[in-house]
Amino acid sequence: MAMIQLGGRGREERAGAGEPTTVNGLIQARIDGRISRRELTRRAAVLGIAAPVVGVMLHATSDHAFGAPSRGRALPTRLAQEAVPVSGPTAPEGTPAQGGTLVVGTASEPDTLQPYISQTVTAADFQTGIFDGLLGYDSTQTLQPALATEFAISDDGLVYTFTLREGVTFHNGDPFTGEDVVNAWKIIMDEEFGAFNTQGWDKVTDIAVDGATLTITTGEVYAPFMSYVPVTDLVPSSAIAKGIDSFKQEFGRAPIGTGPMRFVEWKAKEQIVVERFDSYWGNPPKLDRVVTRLVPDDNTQLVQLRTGEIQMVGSGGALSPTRVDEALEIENVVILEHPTQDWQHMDLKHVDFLRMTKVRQALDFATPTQDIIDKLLKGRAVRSIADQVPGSWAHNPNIEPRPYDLEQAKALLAEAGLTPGDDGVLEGKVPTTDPNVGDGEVKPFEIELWFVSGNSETERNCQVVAQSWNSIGIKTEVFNQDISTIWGPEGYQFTDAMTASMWTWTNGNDPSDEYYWASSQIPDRPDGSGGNLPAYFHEYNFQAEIDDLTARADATTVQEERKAIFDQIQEVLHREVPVIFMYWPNSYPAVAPNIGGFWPSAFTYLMWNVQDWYLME
Amino acid sequence: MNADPSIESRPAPHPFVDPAIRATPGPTGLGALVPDPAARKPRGPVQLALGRLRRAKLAIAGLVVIVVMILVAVFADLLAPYGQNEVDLFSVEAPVSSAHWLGTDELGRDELSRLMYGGRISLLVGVAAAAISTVLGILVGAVAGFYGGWLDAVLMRFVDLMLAFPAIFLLLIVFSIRGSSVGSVVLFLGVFGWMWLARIIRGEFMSLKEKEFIEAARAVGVPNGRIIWRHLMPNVLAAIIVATTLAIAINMLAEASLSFLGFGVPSGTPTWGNMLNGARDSYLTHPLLAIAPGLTLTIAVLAINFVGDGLRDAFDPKGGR
Amino acid sequence: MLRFTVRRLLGAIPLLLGVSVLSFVFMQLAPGGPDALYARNKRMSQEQLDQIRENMGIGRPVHEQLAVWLGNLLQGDLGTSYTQYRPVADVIWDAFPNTVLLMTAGLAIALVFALLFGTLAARKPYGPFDNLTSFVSYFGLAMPVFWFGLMLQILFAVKLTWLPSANMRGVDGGGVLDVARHLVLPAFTIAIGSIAGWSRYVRSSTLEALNQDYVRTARAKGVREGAVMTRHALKNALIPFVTVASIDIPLYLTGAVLVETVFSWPGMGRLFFDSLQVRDYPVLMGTLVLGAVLIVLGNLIADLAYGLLDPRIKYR
Repeated sequence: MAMIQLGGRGREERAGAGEPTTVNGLIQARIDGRISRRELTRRAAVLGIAAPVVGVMLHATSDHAFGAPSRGRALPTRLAQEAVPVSGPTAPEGTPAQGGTLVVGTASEPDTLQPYISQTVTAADFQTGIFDGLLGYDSTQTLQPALATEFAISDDGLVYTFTLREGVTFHNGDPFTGEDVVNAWKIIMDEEFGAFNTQGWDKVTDIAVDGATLTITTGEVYAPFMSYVPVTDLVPSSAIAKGIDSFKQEFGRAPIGTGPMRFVEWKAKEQIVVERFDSYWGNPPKLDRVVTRLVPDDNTQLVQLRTGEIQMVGSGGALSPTRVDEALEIENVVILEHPTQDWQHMDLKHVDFLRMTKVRQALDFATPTQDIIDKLLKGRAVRSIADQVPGSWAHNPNIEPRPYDLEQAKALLAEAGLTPGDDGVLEGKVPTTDPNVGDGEVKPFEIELWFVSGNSETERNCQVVAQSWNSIGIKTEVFNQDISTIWGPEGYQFTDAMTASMWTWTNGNDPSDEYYWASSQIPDRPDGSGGNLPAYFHEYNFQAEIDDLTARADATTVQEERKAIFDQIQEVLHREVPVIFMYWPNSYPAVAPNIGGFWPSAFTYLMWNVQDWYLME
Repeated sequence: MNADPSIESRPAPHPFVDPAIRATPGPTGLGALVPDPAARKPRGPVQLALGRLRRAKLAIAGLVVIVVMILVAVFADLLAPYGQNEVDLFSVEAPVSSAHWLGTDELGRDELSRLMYGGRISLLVGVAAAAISTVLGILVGAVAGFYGGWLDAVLMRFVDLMLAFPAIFLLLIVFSIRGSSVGSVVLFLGVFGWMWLARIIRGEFMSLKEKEFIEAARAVGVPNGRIIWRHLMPNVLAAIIVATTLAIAINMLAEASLSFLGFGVPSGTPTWGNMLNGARDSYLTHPLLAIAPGLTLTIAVLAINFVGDGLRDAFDPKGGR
Repeated sequence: MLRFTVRRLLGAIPLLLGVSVLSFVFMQLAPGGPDALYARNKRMSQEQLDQIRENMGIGRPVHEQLAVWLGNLLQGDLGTSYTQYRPVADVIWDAFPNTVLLMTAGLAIALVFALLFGTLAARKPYGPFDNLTSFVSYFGLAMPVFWFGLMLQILFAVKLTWLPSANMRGVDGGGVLDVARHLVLPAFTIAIGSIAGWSRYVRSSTLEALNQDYVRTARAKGVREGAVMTRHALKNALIPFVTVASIDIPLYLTGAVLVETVFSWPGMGRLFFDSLQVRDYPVLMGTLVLGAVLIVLGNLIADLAYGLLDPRIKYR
């Protein structure tokens, strides 16, 4: 079975005129007229593609599909331009202007700009421009000095020493000192305050300030420390001193930081304005003002990009892959492309047949992930094999994804003791004690496939997956619920039905993945905390192995050693398929061609380098 | 100049029992329900005849349109070129072509087929919800109007309360929390749609029960239930039929509004409202996806309104001359 | 008149109380609860989760929650938004004037066009203009209001680009002209049903008034037709019209949800819709109660205006 290239696109396969041996290859060959309908059917059968899917393929490749001309109106088969992969900051030719106003569009209003309680990406997009941490990530996932100029970690991995930048002032004129870090630690750990993210800070036992030297001591070796504590946004102590209510409410609507941009106004549901902070410690910002328009839907966003009402979208406001084609038709807008840290997957509730490794592997074989990427997303995503993004140091490049192969799927299901019943639906004995041995009551293989309502991307995917699973006798029905209900205590995760659900997790800049898989992260009740929900009813059959690996990964600070552990974790995840890993959707920022310095990435939020943005004359 | 002495009575002191608006069953469709004095007190017999004929024609045309729509919906399995949920992922948002007369939607489903199937649920919701609100309206209106007294006072306070509710807010909250199904949409639209009919019937009963024939029936000991069903109901039947017809149209619009916002009939089920919701992401670039279901719905509602008007004319005793 | 006003005002109080209690009860239907999203947050510890629930009052007995909520409501305290961490009153106050602006503009447009079309149509019943307005009215009443908005948007914002597609102000806008430009499409959308309905109504009542003795007298005295129309017929036609118009007030609230969503208008309707997506219950309850207040107030104003216009009505 030929492997499909990672991130490869159907279009590119056209170049090779050899024997198409993949579904996409076949379809493409048919479209190109290289093979006949009958030939397509025959080869599909050889490839083990079930009849219903062939039906879809045939329909797809029939003469009227793919925009064959009708009544003289041809659908453009090839777009005039393509999205441009981001390789660095945008650099238009010509003379940069000094000053000016840039208008940005974003999809959703931030919840609050309070850096310790906000939860949304849109909020972080602003916060990176308004605040600084001791350090900050750049778009190459490298930590850069910010309010600290240097740092050192002790040999035992417990003490972190930072040299603070001197002469830095907050937007309100307060000088920045080490005491601000101490106060941030105190308020973040204050239970009454209820910070959103205490990760890393909860490991701190002491912070000592000695002039420009800041020493943070932790109680245990915690590898992800550097991606949490030093990058935390710092605020003036005077704001914290105003009390919790004021610090939550007023500060959240009028934030004060040391960043290149100073907050000006927030008109609810309309716009948020920031302007240049003249006393910024770094390179002086080039723009006078950045106005962010709150445009709630994709459509309006596209129209406003077209009319020039907005000149940039990115990060929380970036275009979704499904909208890119329309955006590409807009003249005078450059569509950029970069990977994300979001992994699209289907979780598999570990009950009944889904506890059996072979069944989960079979489902992976029966999921046409590459087709979904190539056809539905038009290649605008990168295939995933586990939970580390390609391009990150923690990614294991040696694992090949399972191909779409219904024969192998059927064989594995048969091995798991599942045979077709009278109505064609597979049935068999469910496991009781040993998760891999069916010895209990006989049940039909019926599975609910869930997606969050309103998400057209996962809705489409689910339809395709259901069609494929149904074709091999797994009775699959698609359901959806709104985001609050689906994750609530009455959501699918806590029913006794076999379920799969398609959604994304988003990784942070540290590869730690204990939260997703460790037994300590299985909630003890439906409204409890913890990310390991598939194992709510039954622990994974590889639970001990993954517990040990994830714990060791967090307690190892040497990157090469950590990488070896993460490589192993990814092998286990790929072997066991606790969830079906699908893809990393790309992000599509769009920007007017006269804007320079814009450098979005998977590792940064929109305004991380706002001081470098400029307009052309 | 016509000096017709039977000039329509002035509005009653309390605005909400104003006979001029009594046939208004809900928050929309006012104008269609307002009695047309020009029709009743025309400038001359020719104009009268012309006016009535014209509206009769419209009513018949509306009836024909509705019957055709119902037939198409019922026989959608035979008529539709594709299945209602037949996803063709390889031609998503395809333009109009000989294969897809109205193009395809955001999941590559045939727009025309979805329109045909969509009529099923849209019409069903309209009719079923109108049936519920009619039953509730008759019940409350008859009891309040016939028995009067404290029962009437309590029931009318309750009607006031229901009318003060911003119904759409409430429906959206309930559906967003509890989820929705065709059944729950029907139920809730029905439950929030009976108040106007109750007021009409109450008003009619109040005035009718003072009439001699009712007094006579009472005098000879006819039981209350019998008086209500045999003597009073036939007199308000016309009002009920007209109000129910128009309620169908109003409920179809309400279903579309809820579904458009994403909290109506579950999204997989094709209804005209759901199709409009599906088009929300792409209507600016693919306008047909929004135009087609919206126009179909408008035509359906228009047709029903014409039928309702025709019925009102037909039942109008003053127009019988 | 004064007694009547007071009586009606007092009568509105139990009504509002009832609406408030019912609103609260409906909120208790939530299965996921506002904390569902927190529970799925990977950075949230169990202690934090419990703390948040405590802060939100989740888990306390329902009647206690109701008592606290009603008590606060009477003091004008609507609670704190779950998602914006600030008082609900502030959140709503940001949106409220914008909705009032939209509704007022819609009402004004509806009034002007309804009076214009209605009286013009009444001058020659079954004439070409009457037939045309009648036909258009039927369409106006049959259209889903949000769909009409979408169509206006496609035509005027996308195809013709005469008007902005959404929002309420331009980037540096906020001037009267700027807001007016943004207001045109949503206000027309929200008014379309009323224009259609009211113009038919104005036509009917004008026709009726034209049949009255005093109009005939005026005509006999040789008063010009235009003056007969405005000074005599229209004035009397207006009286029942006020009632009809007042009934449309809830319709404007309904319309606000739909129209503001379509046009990204920063009002209460969009606030409500956005809060619905994130289960911000305090904001939802606040909006619900305020909506009810608006409806009750609208009815009250209609009652009073009715009395002012028609001196024959005696208030008991």
